[in-house]
Amino acid sequence: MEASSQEDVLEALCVLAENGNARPTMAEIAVHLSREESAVRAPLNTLARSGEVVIEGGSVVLTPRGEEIGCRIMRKHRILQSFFAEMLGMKPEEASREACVLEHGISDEAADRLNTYLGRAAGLPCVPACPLPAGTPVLSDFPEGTLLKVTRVCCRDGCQRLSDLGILPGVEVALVRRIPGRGVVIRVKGCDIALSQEIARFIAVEHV
Amino acid sequence: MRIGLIGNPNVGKSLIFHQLTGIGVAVSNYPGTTVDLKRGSLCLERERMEIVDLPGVYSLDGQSSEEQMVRTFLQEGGSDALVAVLDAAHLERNLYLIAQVAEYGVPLVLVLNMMDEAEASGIEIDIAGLSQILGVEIVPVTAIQGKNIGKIIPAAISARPGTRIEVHYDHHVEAAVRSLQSMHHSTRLEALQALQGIGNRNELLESAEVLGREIERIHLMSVSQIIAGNRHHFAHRVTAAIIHEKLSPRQRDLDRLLTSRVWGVLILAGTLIAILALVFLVGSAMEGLLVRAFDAALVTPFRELALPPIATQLGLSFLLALQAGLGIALPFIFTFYLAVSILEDSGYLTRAAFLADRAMHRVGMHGQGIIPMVLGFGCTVPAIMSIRLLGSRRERTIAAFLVTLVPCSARTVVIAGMLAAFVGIGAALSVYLVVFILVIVTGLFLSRVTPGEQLGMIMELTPLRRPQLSNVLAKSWYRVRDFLVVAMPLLVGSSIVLGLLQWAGFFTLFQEFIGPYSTTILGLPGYATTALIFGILRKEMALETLVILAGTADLATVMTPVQLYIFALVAVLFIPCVSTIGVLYREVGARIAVLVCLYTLSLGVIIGWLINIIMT
Repeated sequence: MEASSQEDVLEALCVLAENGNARPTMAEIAVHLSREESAVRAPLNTLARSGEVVIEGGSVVLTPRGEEIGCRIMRKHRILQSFFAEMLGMKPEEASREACVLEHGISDEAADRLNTYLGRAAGLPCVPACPLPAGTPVLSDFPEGTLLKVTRVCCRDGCQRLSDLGILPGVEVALVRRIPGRGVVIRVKGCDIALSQEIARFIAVEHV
Repeated sequence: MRIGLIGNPNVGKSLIFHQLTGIGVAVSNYPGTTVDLKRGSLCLERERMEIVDLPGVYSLDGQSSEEQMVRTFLQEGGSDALVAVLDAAHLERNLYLIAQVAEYGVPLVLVLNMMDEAEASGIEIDIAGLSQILGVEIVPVTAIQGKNIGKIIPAAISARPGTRIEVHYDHHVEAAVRSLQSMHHSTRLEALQALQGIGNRNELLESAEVLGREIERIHLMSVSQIIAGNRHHFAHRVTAAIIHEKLSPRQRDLDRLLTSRVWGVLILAGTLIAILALVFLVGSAMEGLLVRAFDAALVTPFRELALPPIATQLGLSFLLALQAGLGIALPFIFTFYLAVSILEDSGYLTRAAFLADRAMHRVGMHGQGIIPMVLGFGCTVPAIMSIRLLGSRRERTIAAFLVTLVPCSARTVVIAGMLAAFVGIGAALSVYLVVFILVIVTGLFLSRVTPGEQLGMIMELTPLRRPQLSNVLAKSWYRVRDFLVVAMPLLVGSSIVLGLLQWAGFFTLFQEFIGPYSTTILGLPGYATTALIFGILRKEMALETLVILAGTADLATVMTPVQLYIFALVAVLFIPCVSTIGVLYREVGARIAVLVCLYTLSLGVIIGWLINIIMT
């Protein structure tokens, strides 16, 4: 009997146990896996012989060893599924189907790393550069002649030109000129750059 | 062999291009864009070289049309070698672009221009050291004095692929690049671009987006910003190693004055008025001389030949077109461009744009938009040509409408010749007021309905420099030639068509047909409408034709003041002249050109009609 169908059965038992059914019947396992009862009997017997499950009467119980294997597979399935669905944008059911195949092949390490990756992606707060919190000091708030350090550059996809001119977080600039309407001239990398107010008010700075 | 000239804006690239290629320059359109690629050729040791002057760019990863064009040019292997021109006085910022250029792996030579300026500001560059670090040949030049220009092409010919210019990116970026390279069999360059959302391979872009998002979450900066930061760091490290001496920056007293809130604006207004006055005075004087000389030398002798009527008509139409073209091009456009080239070369134009930003903002444009608007007072054709300076399609569209409304010198002739002469100076000035109001209203309206986002202005204030006479003259001449290339064929063609129509008696029929409408709507006699039609050729011809058709130069005897006023106003507003239509088509496309014509036509008719109703 193939290892993957044994793993599928162990995984199913874990999921059922998680849902409050720790002693499912063979029929219930078959329904969960969308298979015929006859198709789950063979792997269950194999698992019973190798000590991953105990069959008591009509119901199946996981041994500690079986539970460990089953839960590991279940976890891999969930990592893969969320990777496919959340990061790659697949539909949930397709992501799940894909995960059903790959969960048997992926190594523990790769699954762990993928999980860290997902965790970092989901766990860290997403701090977009925009909008700047109210009251953040921006370029046009300082007097002429001030030396400033750029802390954040907030732009609706128009950052490229600013980056190319060297206006990036961490860069020091000198405020050369201000004009009415909150436009500014700043000196960066020895060049004078004029910015109109729509740009200047989205560049957060602090005193050097 | 084909050599591309690449570099930041304002590093003297075009000057070097002209020096390398002499006058054999042809302007050609690059497929699919409206931005010109200038190509020229020269012969060296019996081999023909083609030199391509790429538009000045700050980066190869940007989204502006110039940047996209240069990128496409490089991706398609447009040149066998690249000559990168750098401003020696601002080496660090310029090296940022070089870091990107080197990634394309094309044989590369660096030209350090403006060595004199660098020296003057106390910057001493170790050329040998720089060449050693970057692994490319470096030619220091002072283009404005023509120093060392001859060494550029031989250096480009002997350049080989491969440099030591390599930016080491942040390790997350490098890891992502490696993954993308192995996952999609892409090159390092493709992978780097994909991380910045550039390219057309969808699966590569998708993976890059996933990896990029992860990097952005770790760094709290966009991938583009990280990459840009790494390149700037590279440029900084290189310059720190080879610039040995840096004195305190030079005095900037003049700039303090030029961009000050009160004086700056006064100086700007004074400069603009002075230019307009100069161009108008010098231009009309020169035009008078030219037209008279042309009449005496060609038109009168031709009439005396007494050829068959059709031949006379055709010949006269042809001569008339030549006269119209030269009568605008040399006196007005050349004078205007002399003045503007001086402003441009001195660096003042960028200050003017900065000061005008707020006002221009109201009508949907940015500071740079002041340049075409000012040019429009001279001649609409070069003004429309200059709207390509504007950053976005939206701004160019708005500018196309507004610039067409600005009364050019030919329209000023109509205003002065009819209203100031026969009605009064107040009436003449009121036309300017009407146009000014229409410009504002149109601008306010267009800034609301024109698609596209209003992006802010990011503009480098170029260093103040003393303009060089030879360069100013050359530049003005190139622009006049550009005008002649666009306008002359149109002028000749339409003049001959109008001439033939006149010969065939079309205008008599036309007058009979249009007469009633013309009288009911505008209150003008039928022949005045015919005169207006001739204004399409060249605006002041409306006045000239009117004089011929009316049979007297003393227009006050045949038309009432109100009729004169309506005629002048309609002539100023309605359909731009044929050269303008031609250049509109070239710069903003057929659709906008047609819209501009329809809009100005309806403005002319409606305003003329309104005045007719109110005044009579």
